[in-house]
Amino acid sequence: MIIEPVTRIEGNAVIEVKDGRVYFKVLEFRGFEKFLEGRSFEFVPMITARICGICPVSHSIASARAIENAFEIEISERVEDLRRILLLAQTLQSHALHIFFLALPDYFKSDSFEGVPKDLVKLGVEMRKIANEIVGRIAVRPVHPEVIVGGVARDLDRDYSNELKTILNGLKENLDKFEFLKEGEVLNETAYLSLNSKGVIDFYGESLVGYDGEIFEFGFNEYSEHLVEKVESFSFTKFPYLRGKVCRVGPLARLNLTKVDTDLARELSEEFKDIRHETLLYNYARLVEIVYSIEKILEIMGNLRGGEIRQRVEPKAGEGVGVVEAPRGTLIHHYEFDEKGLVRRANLIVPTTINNTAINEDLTATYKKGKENFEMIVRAYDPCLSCSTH
Amino acid sequence: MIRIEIDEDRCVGCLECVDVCPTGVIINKNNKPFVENAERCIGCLSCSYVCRADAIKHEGIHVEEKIVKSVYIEEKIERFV
Amino acid sequence: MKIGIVKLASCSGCQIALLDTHEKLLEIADKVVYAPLIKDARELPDCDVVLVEGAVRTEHELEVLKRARERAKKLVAFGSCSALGGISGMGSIYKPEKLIEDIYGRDLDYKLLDFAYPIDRFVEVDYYLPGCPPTPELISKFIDGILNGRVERHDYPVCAECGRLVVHTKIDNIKKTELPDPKVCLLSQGYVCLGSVTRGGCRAICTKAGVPCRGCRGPTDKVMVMPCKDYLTELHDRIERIAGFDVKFNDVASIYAFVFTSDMMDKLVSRIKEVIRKGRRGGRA
Ligand code: SF4
Ligand code: SF4
Ligand code: SF4
Ligand code: SF4
Ligand code: SF4
Repeated sequence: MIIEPVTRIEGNAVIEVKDGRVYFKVLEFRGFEKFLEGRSFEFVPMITARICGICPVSHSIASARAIENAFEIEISERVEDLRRILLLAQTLQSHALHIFFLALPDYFKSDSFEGVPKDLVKLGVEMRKIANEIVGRIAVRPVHPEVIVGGVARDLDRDYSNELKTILNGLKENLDKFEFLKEGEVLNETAYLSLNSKGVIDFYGESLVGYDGEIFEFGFNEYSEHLVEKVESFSFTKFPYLRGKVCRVGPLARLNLTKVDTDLARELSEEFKDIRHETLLYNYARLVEIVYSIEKILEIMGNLRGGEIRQRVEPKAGEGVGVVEAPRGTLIHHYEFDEKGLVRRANLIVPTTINNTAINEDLTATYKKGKENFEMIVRAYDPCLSCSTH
Repeated sequence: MIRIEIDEDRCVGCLECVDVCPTGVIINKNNKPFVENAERCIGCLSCSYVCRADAIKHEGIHVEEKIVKSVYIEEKIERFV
Repeated sequence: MKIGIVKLASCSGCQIALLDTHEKLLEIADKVVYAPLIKDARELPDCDVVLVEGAVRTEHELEVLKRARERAKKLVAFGSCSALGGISGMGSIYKPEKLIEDIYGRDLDYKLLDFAYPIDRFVEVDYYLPGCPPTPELISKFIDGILNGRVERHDYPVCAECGRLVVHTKIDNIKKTELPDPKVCLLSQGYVCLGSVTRGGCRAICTKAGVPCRGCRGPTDKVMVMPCKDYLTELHDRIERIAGFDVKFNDVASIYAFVFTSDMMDKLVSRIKEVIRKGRRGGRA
């Protein structure tokens, strides 16, 4: 059996059932890791943004962060705050796209968002609109944003809190309509990986936290000791393992591993007190993160810290790793520069790549249970295949 | 008679047209290009060639045709929106 | 009116920009009959318009493209990847075998084409809508134009929309990440801004936010037409004239980032060929 193309996900893929196993084959390729070699540092965030049209902000911030680490540059507190807002606004945009346009049709037995109740779609559109506006204000435009090395493009000089509060209230009124998102069954028990700051969820966090039966923390520079990539010939996407185990990242991993520090989202995330392995719970976790993003943006916008938004950057030879939480999970950029600031080597580990192993395992588990809701399982991961192959 | 018009909204004031005009048609007036002696224009289109903002329009000569275009490219260019 | 959307080697950003037209999307949603990103249809039916996003990188994508051409009355190259090669085209700097070997370290089941081509290398294109991505406003206007049969062209450069003014100065180095003066042309401040060689229509959003234009909309009519006009020569010339600075670009490829494999940039003076030659001989381009 072959499903071609897999729909309502980002990218070109095929699901094929063969000899008792299910293969999730990713069919696209561009080669960023190679053609980034030789690029001058100021163009790198602009180029890496183009890895993905849904989470370009994460890619450009991750690469800016890696470059800053390589050149040993400090960014101001204001830039840090603005970048957090950027990451959260993009998460809001991406999660809204996924829930309302891509995932909900499955629950309403429809083949597109036109089968989803109009008021819910409207809510999704409103969320995307305001999120896009915020990203556009700070980073020129939502796709593709401009994140400047050492800073951001533009200061935030408008207050969006009223609009955000209206949307949050609209969402609160509708929360009980989403109970069905809590359903799901365990397909595989896996390891998890996320960023965090002292145990708290943070998209621009300071260290990595992993789980493989027990919790362990590590710094950006040690990622390659824990995360190893394998290659299978049937897919352009690689297959990473965390300490030899199948690993997952994204909303589920974040809520499993970190505490949430805003009011309503904390309440909702009670569901994830113990480590949860149900794949379909990704969708519920995404809803919780939508609430978290709005609350957190409001909080950060309420007391933005000061500092310069741009600075002069002097390149120097060296290596740097930059990590951020993208909507789909932990995103790692790693560059080596020569003394002129040209990239010598680039390595990117992208959330959907990390989830790729788990997606393949989950599909096979689904098949073994005699079920055929393959696409719904794949969609739960909100895979982004352009990202995963880059 | 050639008429030359400079679109002020588009002009960014680089004054390259002033530098390039062989007959001194366009002059620098308060750091802005100004068409002073239109009758001297020989229709070489150098000014419109260097203008980065596509701000200079000539009328009265078969100007557009002066630019060498390959048929293939021209047909294709028309389809870029 | 039936609209189909097909994705090749791309980032989906153009489709997301289409979604970002918000109300317009809801308006045309029932006309979209094929779009794997948002709808479940598995076969591309006969369509009035097919928007093709992305460059052609694999044999599989070439088949998809040819099928799209067969089923489309009007075929649109949607975004710079498909119109000009775009960022996907940058992969053409290296030989395909080298790309696969350096990234995967082993052979895969799929074959790459020799370059990442813009789609007009293989099929006839009715409209090109370049931009990485085209702004939602441009997309809305284009769709309206298609619906009522009058598509508006943008034949002027970004400078014409920019609103910054040139000041003649003397600088002695290129600026990259600093905060520029809000009113003065970025070129005369020493930033490498591609506005003067890039097709307008985006309302110069980048330069208005203090970021140099990266050239995402590709070359203007003028650059396409003139055999001796090229990005690097033009930029070099302008910076020299208005800022008295003889600039040396140490990363030439990034300046051509969006136009690598386009026929339109196939000129004697262009340095694209040099970059590709260097990369394919095993050097770092
Ligand atoms: S060349 Fe064009 S932009 Fe420059 S001053 Fe003349 S009209 Fe203005
Ligand atoms: S067309 Fe030639 S002669 Fe006429 S104004 Fe322009 S540069 Fe001067
Ligand atoms: S043109 Fe730009 S936005 Fe569109 S698919 Fe290509 S990289 Fe993405
Ligand atoms: S070169 Fe750039 S900054 Fe200068 S006028 Fe043109 S678009 Fe504006
Ligand atoms: S200003 Fe340049 S880079 Fe920015 S959107 Fe316009 S054409 Fe693209």
